[in-house]
Amino acid sequence: MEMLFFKKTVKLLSSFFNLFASASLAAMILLTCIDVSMRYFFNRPIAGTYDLVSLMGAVIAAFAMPYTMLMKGHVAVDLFVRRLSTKTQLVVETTTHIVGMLLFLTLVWQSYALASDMKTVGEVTPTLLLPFYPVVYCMSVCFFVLCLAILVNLLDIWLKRGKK
Amino acid sequence: MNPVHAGIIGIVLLIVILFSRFPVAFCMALVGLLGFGYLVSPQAALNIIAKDFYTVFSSYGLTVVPLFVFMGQILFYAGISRKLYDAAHAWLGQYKGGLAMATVGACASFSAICGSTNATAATMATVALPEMRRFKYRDELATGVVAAGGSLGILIPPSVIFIVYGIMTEQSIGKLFMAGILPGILLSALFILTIYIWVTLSPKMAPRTEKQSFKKKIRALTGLIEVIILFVLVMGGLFLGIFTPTEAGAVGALGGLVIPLVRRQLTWQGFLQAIYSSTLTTCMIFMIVAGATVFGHFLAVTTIPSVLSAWVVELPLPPWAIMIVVMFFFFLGGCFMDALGMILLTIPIFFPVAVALGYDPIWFGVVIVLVTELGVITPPVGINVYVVSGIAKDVPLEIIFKGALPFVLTLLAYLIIMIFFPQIALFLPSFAAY
Repeated sequence: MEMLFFKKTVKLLSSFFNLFASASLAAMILLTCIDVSMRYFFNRPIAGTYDLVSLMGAVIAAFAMPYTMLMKGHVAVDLFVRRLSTKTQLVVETTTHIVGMLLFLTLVWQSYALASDMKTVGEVTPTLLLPFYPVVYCMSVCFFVLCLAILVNLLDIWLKRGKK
Repeated sequence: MNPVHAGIIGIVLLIVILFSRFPVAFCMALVGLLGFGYLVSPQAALNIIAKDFYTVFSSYGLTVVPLFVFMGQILFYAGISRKLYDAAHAWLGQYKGGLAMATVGACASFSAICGSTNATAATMATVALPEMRRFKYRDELATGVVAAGGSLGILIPPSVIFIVYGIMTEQSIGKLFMAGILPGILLSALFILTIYIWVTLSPKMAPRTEKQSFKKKIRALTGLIEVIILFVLVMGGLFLGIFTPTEAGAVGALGGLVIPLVRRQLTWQGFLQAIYSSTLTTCMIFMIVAGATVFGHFLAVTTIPSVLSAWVVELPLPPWAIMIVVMFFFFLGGCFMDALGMILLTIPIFFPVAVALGYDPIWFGVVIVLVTELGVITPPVGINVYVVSGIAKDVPLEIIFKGALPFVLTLLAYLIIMIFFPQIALFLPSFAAY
C-alpha cells in the first residue's frame, strides 16, 4: 500500500515537473520570436534574451529528467541483456538502477555545493546580471526526483517479476 | 599506470557497461567521473561532473534542440506527414515502384522539418506502409524503403546530429545544415534510382498503380504551401545570417504551431503530446551531451586523442585510406549503438585525427552522418529497422534487413563518392553568411 502511494506520488511529481519544463519551452519560443520581431521591425531587441533563453534551456532539460526516466526515454543498448535469462536480467537491472541512483545522488550533492559556491562568489548572467545559483539549486532538486524515478522503475521491474 | 593505459581501460569499461542496458548518457558520465577521479583527483572529478551538467544544460547553443524538435513534433501531430506522403504519391505513384519512390520523397521532405532518423522512419512507417501494402507491394521493398528513407532525417536539415556535432567541435551549425542539403537531395535521388533498378530487375516487387489527374497533383501540392514557406523562411533566414540557429528554431516552432492552428488541424491533446515529447527528447539529448562532456574531460586527461592523432598522421598511408579505416570504425559502432551516442563518444577521439589529416571539419560532419545512416539500417542494431518492425509487427526482422540491403549498398557507394568529391557537401556552405 505504501509502495503504491510512493509510486503515485513520484509519478505525479514527475508530471508536474514536466509541465513546468513544457511551460519553459513555450516561453522560450515566445520570447525568442518577440525578440526577433522587435529587432527587425522596431530595431529594439529585448535585452537579456540570450541569458533568459539559456536558463530556460536548463529548466527544460532538468525538469524533464524524472518524466523522461519514467517514460524510459533514454537511449540504451538492449541487444545483449535481452538474451539473458530472466533471473540474470533482474540482477543486471537491479545493479544498474542502484548505480544510477548513486550517480545522481552524487549530482544532487555536487550541484547543491556548486549552487552554494555560485551564491557566495556571486556569479551572474552576462547581460541581465541574474544570479545563476537558483537554477542550480533547482537542478539539484530535479536530480533528487530523478533518483526517485529510477527507484520507481526498479520497483516496477521487481513487481512485474513478483506477478509472474 | 600511465594516462593512456588508464584511458584504454576506461574505454573498455565503458563498452562493457554500455551493453548492460544502462542508458548511454549515464554510462559516459559514470566512466568519465571514475576515470577523471582516478587520473586527477576525486575532488576534482566531483567538482567537474556537476559543473559539466550545469554548463551543458544552460548552453545557449543547445537551445536549438528543443525548438527544432518541437517544430517537427507539432507538424507531425497536425498531420503534415500524411499530406507530404499524399503529394509525393500523386506525383510519383504512376511509375513502377512509384509508391516506394513516393515514400523516399515524403521521407526527404519530412526530414526538412524533423531532425532524427527514427522519428522520420516511425512517421513514414505509419503513413506509407499501409498504402504500399494495399497496392500489394512486397514486404521487403515496403519496409526496407521506410527504414532507409527514414535515415535521411539526420542528413537533411534541421538535424539533431549536426547541431550536436557543431557544438562539440565548434563548427557553425548554419554551415553544417547547409552542407547537408545537396548530399541529402542527391542521396534521395540515388535511393529512388535504387528502387527503379530493383523493381526493373524483379517486377513482382511492386505492381503499377494508376496515374493521377493533373488537377489532383496540383491539389496535393497546395496543402503543403505553408510548410514549404516555413522551411524556406527558417533555413533561408539562417543561411543569410538573419537568424541565429536558436532564433531560426523559435521562428520554425511558432510557425509550426500557427499553421495547423489557422487550418484547425490541431487538437489540444495533440499540442500537449507534441510539447511533452519535445521536452522528453530534449532531456534525452541534453543528458547524452552532458555525459559525453564528462567522458570527454576524462579522455582529454588520458591524452589519447592527441597521441592517437599524432600517431595516425605519421602512418605511411594516404589520408583517404586512414579515413576509410575511421569510417569503418564508425560503421561498426553504428551497428551496435544509437547514432547520437556513438558520435558523441567518438568525436573527441576522431575529430582531431580528421583535422590533422587536413580534412574539412564540415565535410567530416557530413561523412559521419552518412556512416551513421548506414548504421541505423544494418544488423544487429539497426535502430530504424527496429522502429519499422515495431509498427509492422507481422513482418519478420530479417525481411526488413533484407529489404534495406540494396539501400545499404547505395549508401556505401555514395560514401566513396563523398570521399573523392567533397565539393558535394562543401559547395553550398561556401556561400553561407553565417
